[in-house]
Amino acid sequence: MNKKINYFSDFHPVTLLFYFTLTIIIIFMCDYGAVLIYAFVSFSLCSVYIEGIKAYIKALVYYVILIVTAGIFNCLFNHSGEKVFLYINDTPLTLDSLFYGICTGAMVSCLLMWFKLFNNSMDNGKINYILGRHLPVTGLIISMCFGFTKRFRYKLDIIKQSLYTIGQLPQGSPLYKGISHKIKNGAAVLNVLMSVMLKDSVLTADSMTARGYGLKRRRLYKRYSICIEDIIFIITALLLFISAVFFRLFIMPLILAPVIYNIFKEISWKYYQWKI
Amino acid sequence: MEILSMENLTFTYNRSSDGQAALKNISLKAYEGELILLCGPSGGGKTSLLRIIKSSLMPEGKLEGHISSCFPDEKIGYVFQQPDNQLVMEKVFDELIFGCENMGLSTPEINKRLSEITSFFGIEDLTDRECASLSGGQKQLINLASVLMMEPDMLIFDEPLSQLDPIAATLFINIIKRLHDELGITIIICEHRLSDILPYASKVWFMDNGAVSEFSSPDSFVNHIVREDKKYICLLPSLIRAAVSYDTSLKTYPYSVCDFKKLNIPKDFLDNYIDKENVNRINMPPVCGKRLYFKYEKNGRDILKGLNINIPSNSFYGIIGGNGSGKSTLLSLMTGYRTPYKGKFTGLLSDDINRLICVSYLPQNPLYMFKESCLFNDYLEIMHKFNIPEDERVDFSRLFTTHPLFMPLKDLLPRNASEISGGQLQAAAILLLHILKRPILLLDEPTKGMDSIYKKHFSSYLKELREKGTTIIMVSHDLEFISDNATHCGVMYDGQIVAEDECHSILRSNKFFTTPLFRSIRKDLG
Repeated sequence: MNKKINYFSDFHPVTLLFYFTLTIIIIFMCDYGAVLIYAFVSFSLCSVYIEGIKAYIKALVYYVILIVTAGIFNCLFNHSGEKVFLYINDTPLTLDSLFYGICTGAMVSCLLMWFKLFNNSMDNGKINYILGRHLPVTGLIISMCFGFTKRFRYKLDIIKQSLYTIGQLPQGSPLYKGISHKIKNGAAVLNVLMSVMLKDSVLTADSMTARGYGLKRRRLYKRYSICIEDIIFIITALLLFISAVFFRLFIMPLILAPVIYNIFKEISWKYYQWKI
Repeated sequence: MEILSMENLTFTYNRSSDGQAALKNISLKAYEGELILLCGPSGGGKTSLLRIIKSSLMPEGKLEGHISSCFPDEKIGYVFQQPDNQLVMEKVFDELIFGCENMGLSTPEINKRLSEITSFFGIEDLTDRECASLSGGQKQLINLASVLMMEPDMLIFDEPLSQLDPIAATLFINIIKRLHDELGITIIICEHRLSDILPYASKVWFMDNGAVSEFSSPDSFVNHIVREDKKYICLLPSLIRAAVSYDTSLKTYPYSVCDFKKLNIPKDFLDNYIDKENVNRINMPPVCGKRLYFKYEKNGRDILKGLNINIPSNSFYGIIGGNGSGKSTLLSLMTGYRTPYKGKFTGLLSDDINRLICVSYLPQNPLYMFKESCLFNDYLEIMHKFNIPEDERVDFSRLFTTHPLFMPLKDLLPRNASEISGGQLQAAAILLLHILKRPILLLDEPTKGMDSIYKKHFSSYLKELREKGTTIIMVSHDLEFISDNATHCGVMYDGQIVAEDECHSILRSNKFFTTPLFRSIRKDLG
């Protein structure tokens, strides 16, 4: 699939983190129907812009299922409220609780869309960068952990293959017998994996020492720098947020900011081209 | 300018049980701009010496004597043997700047160094990649580049080529040579693949059993080995060995095919020199694979594309070919661990049960085969698992005293497999497979990390096995080992065996995938 360029993700990680914090706060204060509809519609527009209409409709099916089930369940288990619309065995089902459930469902689907957008703009590297600026060692450990899971899986396959001809049979082999076999085999493979990884990490530690790790205070490479656009964006977002919180205005522009920024960038690029 | 001096250096490991020193009374000096080759049989203390020079890696033990270096520790770069485990970060870019971040350098400074180093190495397009996706040669290059980012004044290499294939090794050597020629960095390199590096060395330190002798030029080193230390003659490059066996009174030695041809050694002599005995065949069904297709993922590319292979019974079949041509995958199909989605094996490998009782397999890293606390328990467990009778166990224990390949293992039995090094580990794993006495032995790069002395013992062991009727199938980049031992040979390219014949006729007809000796006689064939 042809992926669209996301200019928004070029912002400084701190700016992005700031923006995403603001929007998640907006989602959590959606206690009131109109705000929720604004939020849902604008998140939907964002998703459509970034993922394309097809992927969005696929996801929308799940959101609708989520919203409807949340409404039904809340209405079945929570009976408080004034407007009763049905009695089942003398238990009242109220419109209030149905509506409340639907709102919760919509909020959760907003949250899901928020995570999609978040993933789209922030990758591991950026999260590490934010963490690592103040806690370089923690940042390093986290990024090493990400690497380790991949190595584990790769090594596991090689170990199974190495043990295969000396009596470590895989599942489904004709000589394979029962669950106790499986547990024993699994334990043996894990045992080898552990000792191999331990030995490897000693070598990695040596290599780190050889490259001066721990000698001086570690300083992180500055991969991103804050520019004027970041500052303008942060101020605008903050103003929109304040007006959204206190006056319930400008909720849509705030959530749609990435799309607006992207469209602005597209247009300005077209303008540059036209000028040439 | 003298940059490193050692006087009466003696080093004893804390863990050494017999209290024997790993380094004995060493006095050496290194001068600025030298390329020093450190060589010698394995277990001679080479790594210990290198680690003492780089003081932050010094092993635990007792150090006597005096060592002084005019550089601070962080100005000495150190490149290790294993390309994989040296890599700390996930991305190549992070890996390159890792050392600089540790030094606390500023971002503009790192950027400047980064631009210089990446263009010097020609690795600009690798920086966005993930480390795991690189080949062994590229990984080792990144390791070196990352060390160079710290702008060291001296570089130490601990067997950097032993895990690389010949083409990657040549590239790596060229980089080392450029570093030495263009930047004048002092280099100490420990390596047993001498043919690549020996001609460039300005000085040779030959280390045997903890003691070092110094030679001022490669020629004087070869001279010493040829005339005085004859038991180590197998350490020398094959061209020099051939030349010396023709004319023992040589003054200058041939380091390249070009030099070798100038010696005008008669063709008959060379033919005799590389010819070997014919084997009598024992009747056993040959192993064949017909039109094998294999891929790892449904949407992935085919790794094997209609491969045909015919392995005569009781032969030593060498599979050669470039990186990523599918050699190791073919072996894993033969073990039965993976199955081809099209095509099948005939003969001994025809079905799963057959494979399980016929095939033993030595993986690239034999460490993965040991799961018990010590070697002895591993052997015991295998014997127990496969119900080996008592008299065969006695035969087995006799091997420790009779076969030179396994002799050093006797003292290592109470050790864990991860404590023992390169060649010894390979020997230990081969011994494990020896217990099973299977008719087909599959070897995946067994000579990686073995020095020439181990290789000699190893080839004599394989010969004995073949006399007993075992078929040996070996995947290797070590063309010299294949040319000395294999009876048949298949060249693999892009998931197919493109040529398959008797070993010497293949190596004679190849121009690049062959050994220097075959290259030097190729012209005479016309």
